[in-house]
Amino acid sequence: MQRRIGKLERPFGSLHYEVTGSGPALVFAHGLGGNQMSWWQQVAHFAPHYTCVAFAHRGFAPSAKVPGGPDPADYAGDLAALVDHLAFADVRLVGQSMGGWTMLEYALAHPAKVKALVLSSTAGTIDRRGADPSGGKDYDAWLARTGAAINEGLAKGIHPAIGPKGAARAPALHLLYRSIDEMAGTLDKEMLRAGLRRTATRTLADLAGFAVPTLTIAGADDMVFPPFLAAAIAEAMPHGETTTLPDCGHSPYFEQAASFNGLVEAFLARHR
Amino acid sequence: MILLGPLRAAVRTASWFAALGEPLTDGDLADARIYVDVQGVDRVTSWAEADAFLKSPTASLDWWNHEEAQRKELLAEAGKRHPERALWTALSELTSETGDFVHGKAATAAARAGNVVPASVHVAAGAAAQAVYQLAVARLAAREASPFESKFRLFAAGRWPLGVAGSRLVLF
Repeated sequence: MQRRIGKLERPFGSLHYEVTGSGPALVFAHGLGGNQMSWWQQVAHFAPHYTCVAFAHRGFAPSAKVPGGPDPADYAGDLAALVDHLAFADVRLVGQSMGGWTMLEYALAHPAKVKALVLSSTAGTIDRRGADPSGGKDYDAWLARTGAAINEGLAKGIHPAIGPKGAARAPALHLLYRSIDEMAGTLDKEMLRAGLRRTATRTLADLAGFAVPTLTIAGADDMVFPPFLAAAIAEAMPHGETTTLPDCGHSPYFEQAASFNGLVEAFLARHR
Repeated sequence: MILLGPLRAAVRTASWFAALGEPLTDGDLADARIYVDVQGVDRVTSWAEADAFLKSPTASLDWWNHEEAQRKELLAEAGKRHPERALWTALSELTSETGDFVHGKAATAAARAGNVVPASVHVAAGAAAQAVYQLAVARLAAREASPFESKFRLFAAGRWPLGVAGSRLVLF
């Protein structure tokens, strides 16, 4: 399968992207612990039938560094420039965790271009606590519970985005995930997390007129994103649907790629 | 990064997953002994056995932790030798290129074997991609005698080193 690597010049520097396969455009946006490489299990699966585009968000190597750190508010603009640059008439978008900021904002700004949207383990720019159907009670309890579990895992070298069950099930995948996470080098991820929180201000009411078919996917054992919010977000969308994968942490696309790919494939087939 | 050119070429020409389950050769055994200090090498002969081993509590997490410690040490050394951005760009690009390539090879091997659960293909490809990444780090650290050289050779010979159980390395 031929892979084309490109650099799109943006005001901050170059945005790294990779195009593999042929067919309708399918774009992947990685999370805080990833880069374009994170999607290797999806590119391998979808490239025979889709033009797969994976890019590294600004600030994440091999894309250029951003002085002072990247602002998530700029992500959707980068994606818009990339979609224009690649001259896609329409796109299908898959965003994981932080990538949900990019994909949801792009889809809200360009709904006519987006054939389908997949939000994996993310609320994107929607305020999490505000999206909790219990009025924040469940969210607060979840935060308290997972905070302790994350610290316990970190003490054992377990990445929160994979979690203890995932690390035990597939140690090589866990270590590969950690290796990819490190490729961001000296990028200040704490500062970026603060930026993500700052820019997650939308409410579910913003989605009332959202016409893009959207699939939300969550892992039942996620310690980073409250899985019950995936269903709440899908329910707030006129064309939303949701799936929660059992025995799965924050990274369904990585931990349970076969199940994830199957879900996305079926969803895309329904919205060609 | 020019240092990784030979590794990139080796990834393309390796016999990924082509000898799974076959009798071990002298070369396999020699590489296994260099790779990890164990008392012996065991072989599993099917994807189902490999899957069962990976899920079994006998697979040692200490071995993975040991590898991870080695990788971190090599990464620190590589970081002293190369500019940060160039290092991460080189590693990211190589691993990105490798990931879906070895996935295709694992999928082909699984298809030949038949009745392989898709999750096993992903685990196999992840292990192979990680092996390439580890060797890339070792090469960038200019560590010629790294155990990651022999680990890669095992993969390149068509094997999949599954892990250590007790004092024995298990190869598929």
